[in-house]
Amino acid sequence: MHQAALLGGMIRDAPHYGWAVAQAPHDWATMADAVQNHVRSLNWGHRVQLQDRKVKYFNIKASFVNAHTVCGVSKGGEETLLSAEHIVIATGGRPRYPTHIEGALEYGITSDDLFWLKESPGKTLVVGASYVALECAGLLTGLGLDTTIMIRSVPLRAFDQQMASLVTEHMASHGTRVLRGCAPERVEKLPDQQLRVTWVDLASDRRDVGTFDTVLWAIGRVPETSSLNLEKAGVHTNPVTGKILVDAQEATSVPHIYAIGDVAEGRPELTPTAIMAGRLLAQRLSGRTSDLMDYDNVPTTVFTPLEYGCVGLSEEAAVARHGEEHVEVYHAFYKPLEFTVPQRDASQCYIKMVCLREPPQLVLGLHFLGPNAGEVTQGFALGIKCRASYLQVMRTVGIHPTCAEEVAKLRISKRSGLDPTVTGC
Amino acid sequence: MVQNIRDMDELKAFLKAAGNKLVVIEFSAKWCGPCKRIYPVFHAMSVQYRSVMFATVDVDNARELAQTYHIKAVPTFQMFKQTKKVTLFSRIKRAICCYRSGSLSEPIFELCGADAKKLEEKIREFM
Repeated sequence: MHQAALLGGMIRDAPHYGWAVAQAPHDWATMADAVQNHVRSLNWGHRVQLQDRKVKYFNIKASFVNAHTVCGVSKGGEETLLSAEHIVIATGGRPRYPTHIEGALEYGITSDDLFWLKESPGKTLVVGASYVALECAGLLTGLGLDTTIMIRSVPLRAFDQQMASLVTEHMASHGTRVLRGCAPERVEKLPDQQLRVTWVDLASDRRDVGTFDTVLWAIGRVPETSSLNLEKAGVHTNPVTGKILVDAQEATSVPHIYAIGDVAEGRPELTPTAIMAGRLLAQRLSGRTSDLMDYDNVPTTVFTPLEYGCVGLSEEAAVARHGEEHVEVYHAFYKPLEFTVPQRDASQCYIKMVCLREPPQLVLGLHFLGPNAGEVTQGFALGIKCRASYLQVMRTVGIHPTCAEEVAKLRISKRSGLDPTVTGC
Repeated sequence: MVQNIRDMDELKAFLKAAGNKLVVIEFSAKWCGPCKRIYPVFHAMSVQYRSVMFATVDVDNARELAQTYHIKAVPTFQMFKQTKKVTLFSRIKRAICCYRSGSLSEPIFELCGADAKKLEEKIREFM
């Protein structure tokens, strides 16, 4: 859907490059159909792979009877008892509903529902400051829908805050209505089926009202552990988050029971991380390796209209860990070549590399805001994993013309106070 | 005409009814784009080639069947044909094979992907 939104932008750019393209409206149903079909094909592919590897697949809802026994119930109500030497819990998480807000459950939807809507969500209010909230609000805006995002305090709390600010700034200047410091109080359904939302401006304590076709809650995710009967197995969870406590081997409080992915406490909530952790766990259990999962320097990308890719520490985290005197931050604003001809606004296209100040200046974190951020960040993630230094980055020749080369061309430090807007070579 | 086959029993009956005719089975899915594109061509071929039997299997509705025939991608076309020659040796062989595998028919050819041209070529070759 993010790609569908980006294409809208490219259709607008096309005439500048000489294409006589008519500006066409977007048809939600066509896109939703394509997305849904793709998801179904992925699910089928997974089932085929399980069969291929002779994995027995039980389509049942499981819970613990004791530490070695699991009881599963099928859709038809049949119960199956299973016991095993090792048990791995990977039940993930689900979007959270703000149950304390009147009407939230009955009238709001979550990201789970967004991809399965047959009709356009229309005028939408996205509540939340997570990457899910920003990505959804961003793509809906890109598809031409009237979109508002309501953020209670700060966007992308767990990310570098300067970058989070730039991401949100870009959205605000490109058609998304951003309401900061507001919290919803009530959702009511009007006779014409629209939703009326009442919210409070936390600073002024003033109330405001708005009408929307859809309200999307993206306020965080909760682990799927409530129906597992973990107590029967003796598996401990964090009482606040509900997530399963694990050690470096992914083992829970019960030695032969493991937990990976979003359901485990303290792990990045990312799919590729869970997959690798699972793979390594399987290899350890079968005696092929003793390697543990490395949760450091995991790269990720937020697919907002202007994408934000990052790997390693945020500036704040680096300063907290090493002290400001020991950290050097190199940065630059740049203009993607593809923005020049159509005269796109590149004000938030920015790169920041956080390094240690002592030579060889180990790179602690890289933050890239711009088009194709995922592709750019993936390559540099390898360098950071190999403990690249700023010197090595400087010696890496750039590929021209790309946005990625700007990473290798970073010369201006924040400490120098010089203008990070680069014009020439 | 294209028959819809929903399970192993229906497939066995279909193959038996085919006798010595060539049988072409398309394994497809509702969410598969290439399947949608090739279906009209498949249907047209069923009208054109009267001496060939055509059928389709939905891999989501007939999961066990798709699994039995090791379908990894869609569309997949599998062709079946009973050997004409029946000798004492082939009778004994069939009896042993059927005893072991539970009379599972093996396809004589498999084509993965929506290549209408290749599909028609192979139909003409085997029919």
